[in-house]
Amino acid sequence: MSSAYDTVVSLLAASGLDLTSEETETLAASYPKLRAAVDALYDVAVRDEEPVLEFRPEPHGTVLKDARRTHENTKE
Amino acid sequence: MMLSISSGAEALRRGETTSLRLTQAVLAAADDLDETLGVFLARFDHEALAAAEKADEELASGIDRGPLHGIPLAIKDNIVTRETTALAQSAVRRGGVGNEPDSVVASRLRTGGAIIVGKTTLMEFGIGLPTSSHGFPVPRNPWDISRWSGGSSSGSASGVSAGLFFGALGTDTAGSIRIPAAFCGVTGLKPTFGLVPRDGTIPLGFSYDTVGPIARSARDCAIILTQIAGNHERDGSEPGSALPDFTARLGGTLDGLRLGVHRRERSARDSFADVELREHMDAAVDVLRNLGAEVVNVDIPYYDELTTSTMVGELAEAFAYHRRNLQEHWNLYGRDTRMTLASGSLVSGPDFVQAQRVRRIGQQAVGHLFDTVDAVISATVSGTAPSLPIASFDDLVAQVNTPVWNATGNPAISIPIGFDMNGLPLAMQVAGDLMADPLVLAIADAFQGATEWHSAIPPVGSSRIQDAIGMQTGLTSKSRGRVS
Repeated sequence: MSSAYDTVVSLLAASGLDLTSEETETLAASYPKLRAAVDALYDVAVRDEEPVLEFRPEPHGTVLKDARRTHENTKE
Repeated sequence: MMLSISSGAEALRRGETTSLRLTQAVLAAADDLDETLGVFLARFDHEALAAAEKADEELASGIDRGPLHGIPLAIKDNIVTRETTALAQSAVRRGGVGNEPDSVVASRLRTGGAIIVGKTTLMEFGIGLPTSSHGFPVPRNPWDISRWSGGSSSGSASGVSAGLFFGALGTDTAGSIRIPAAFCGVTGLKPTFGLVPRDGTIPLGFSYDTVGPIARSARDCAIILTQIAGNHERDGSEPGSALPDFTARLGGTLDGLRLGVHRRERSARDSFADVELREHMDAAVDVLRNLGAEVVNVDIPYYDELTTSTMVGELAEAFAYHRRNLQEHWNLYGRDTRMTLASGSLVSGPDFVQAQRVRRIGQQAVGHLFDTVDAVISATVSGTAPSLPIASFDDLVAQVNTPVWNATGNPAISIPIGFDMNGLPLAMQVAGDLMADPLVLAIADAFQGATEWHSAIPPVGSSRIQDAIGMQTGLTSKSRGRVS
């Protein structure tokens, strides 16, 4: 079997997925194309840019809850 | 006058029809056509008729909830409503889920007086291919029932096209509102990411998913968007400042606007080989120019990379959501669904992070593009509705021009621009700067004010709504050539 097939078998097993051999072969056949597309993302000059992963700290005080209620009363 | 939410609302207020008659008409239309088209996963006939009677009573007593009051709409079945379990067209969700409270968008539609007549078909969890496995309907295209309606918001688009309801909600992670709208000859808006609450929506790609309207016209989409937009605490977002009435900017000209046309043949990835589509795109751009816009050619920066970023990110996020169910219920998923979802396991953590870093670079570059143009025009899809069965998810993805705007979060609308020689709809996409949804709608509305492609009635379509409000049947696909 190809290294793509072995890689796919390994990754599927690590994820706890139990595919038939035909299904595994199908994924293995498409894997090189997926891998090439993903690898091309590493060729982009992203410098020190941070990923688009969002985290906004939020207060949970009474004042904030009152503001939310006021907003919804005008919406619904 | 064309069939629209506005025409229905006007007829209601002139006393020419009632919400009950409209609702009875759309339910009768569903009786006629749903078995052929596969639009509905669930119908709420009893609840809809009761809601219509209440709407009529309110309007008669002077209570007017706005332009959706008494108007029959439908909702894609990955968005929760109180009537039934949302299945997302998957056997995985049969049993054990139970009914849930309305999603924010469903609740807001009811607050606006809309009549929710049912839940519409989709690609399984928004990512599978059409199949009759597990007893679900195959969504068919009203323009040619041997072809697919597109997806993933399949029934929402085909139902609007066929006259089974006035408008519908869909969701869009990589094009799932715009693609079926394009294939079915109707109008579909992916709003700016985060503009519409996603609470109560079964996720596909958390950082890409967007809820939006599908309807005949940009004006109808604006009416629906005005009702559903705005932060909500159940969506994990802060109540923000007041949002605009998305209909307020409609009806103007395009004077002073600079539009950039992105042509796929300029991309390194694919050729824009469909000559008929190219000719219709050229004609559509001429319409925009004649409406007063300056038109220039542009290249969307990082186009291929942003498209890949959406697909890689979506696969990773979808796999994270589905992994446990894939382990335990592999065979309950449709084959194409589970195979596509499983490919998310082949994307590593660093791959996902890199996709999100490229996404950041692309967002910045696209932001700079909107410093030079007011909107970007492209074909929605590089082709027409494909024949059933659909052979490959990859083949489908290769011809769509939609995922780039999910990576950046920008609003984008698909509008009809004519028909190919087989009578199948062709479509154009208009994208704008972040939060420029009113402008995107205004451009689409101006185009539709000069054309009639969006009012066309498909061969498998019902005229029951028109009958209920005393309208003439509109343009058909046989009416070829420019209409203005």
